[in-house]
Amino acid sequence: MTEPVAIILLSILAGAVALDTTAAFQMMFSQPLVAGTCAGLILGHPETGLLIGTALQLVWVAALPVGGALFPDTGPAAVVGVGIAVLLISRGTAGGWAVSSGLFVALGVAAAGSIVTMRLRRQNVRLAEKALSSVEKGDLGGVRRAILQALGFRFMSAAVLSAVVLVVTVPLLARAFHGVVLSEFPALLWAAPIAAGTILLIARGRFERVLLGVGVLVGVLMVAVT
Amino acid sequence: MTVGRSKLNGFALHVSLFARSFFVQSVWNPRGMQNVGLCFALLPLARSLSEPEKRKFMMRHLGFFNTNPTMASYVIGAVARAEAQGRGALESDDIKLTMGGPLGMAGDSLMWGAVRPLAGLVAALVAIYALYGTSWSIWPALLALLLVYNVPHLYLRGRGILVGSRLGAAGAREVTGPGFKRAVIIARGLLAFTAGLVLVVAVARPGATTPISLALVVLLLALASLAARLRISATVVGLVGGLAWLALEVFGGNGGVD
Repeated sequence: MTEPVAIILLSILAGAVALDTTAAFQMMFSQPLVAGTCAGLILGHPETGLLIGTALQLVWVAALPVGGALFPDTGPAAVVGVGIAVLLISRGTAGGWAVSSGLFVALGVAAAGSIVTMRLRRQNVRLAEKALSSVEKGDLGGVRRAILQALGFRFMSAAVLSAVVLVVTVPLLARAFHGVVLSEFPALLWAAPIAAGTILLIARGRFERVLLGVGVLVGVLMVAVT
Repeated sequence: MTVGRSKLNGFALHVSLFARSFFVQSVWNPRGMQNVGLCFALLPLARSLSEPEKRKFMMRHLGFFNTNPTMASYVIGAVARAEAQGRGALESDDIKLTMGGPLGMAGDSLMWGAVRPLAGLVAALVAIYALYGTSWSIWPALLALLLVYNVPHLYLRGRGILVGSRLGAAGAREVTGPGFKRAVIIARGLLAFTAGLVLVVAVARPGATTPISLALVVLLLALASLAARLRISATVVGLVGGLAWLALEVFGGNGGVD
């Protein structure tokens, strides 16, 4: 698969998973582990997709789209992260740089995506007002149109952002890391303590703290046995 | 006005309301929040109405509304019941107002606060074993995440429509009562247990081989916990921690120039 085709497919996937984040379905296809692995499958590197998707899943384990809160746009970010890693590997960049670049750019895309989402939500005020005034005037298709427009804007914003990031960053990073070796980046080792640290705060009660400790003990036993 | 003789009745109506409940947040906005999405979800109830009646119906349901998206189905069911009994104009606003808050809190604490992070951690655990096992596949991890989240998610969405349309606003009691609170406690306990498990397995599997990398794990754990307390985004912690890891890898002899 050529790089432009890969970027087009990844952008469509990013737009599709962006819809699942909050606008429609919310069936967790937008979770980094799912979105990242799907991106890896498209590019023929499912293992890289699963690795980056899992690491990002752990980092954002408690990032929740509750109400009007600012939350990272994790699905498209995972797609872009995997895309960058795989495209860099195919350009000959060392695996460690490719994976770490994918992860870092994904963090940036998630932050940029959260700002875009907030802007879209402000724009939705206009769509909602337009729907209301359409219905007031007797045009009963206004609500359906508002839904379709909002979904369209959401899809396009994530797809375009992903495409731009991929087109701009892949050649730049490939040139920057040309000939520089980094055999691996311990993505899971980096991400797991962030997940556990975040959960520590969620697990406030004594019952939860005890179970967290039990989980650690069982984990030690599992590791010892296997 | 009544929608009791809607073109859709029984099973078909419930399926239609269920399918549309997935779009309740499509036009989420700071002013009316889920108002347009709720109106869209309720439209199957208005199919048999004349145009002026349908217009009134839609105007009635374009007012402010917000709740947890999974639990919105309880409100959709209750409003459907009120409309079918011809009391939509009188009761809809009360139903949305009285049910929205408690259902939002219940849904946020169960689905966002427990089930969703639990699904992510279970899937991550499966993925770690897949990535560091001898024969690996991507599918168990994907299925784990989708099933752990979507079994309760789809159950509650479907049940909400059924219970709401049978009991009205009283249907919300089943997700605000002691049984539901016990379910939340169990789910959060499982979440804490899985977090402990994932931490150990994720550190041991890829191998924190040096004392420095182990120290970095502990440091990141403390940093992430502190950041969560201070409401600093995990993205920022990830970036800071990632740069530290990268420096360790590069200066620790893992990198170089060809």
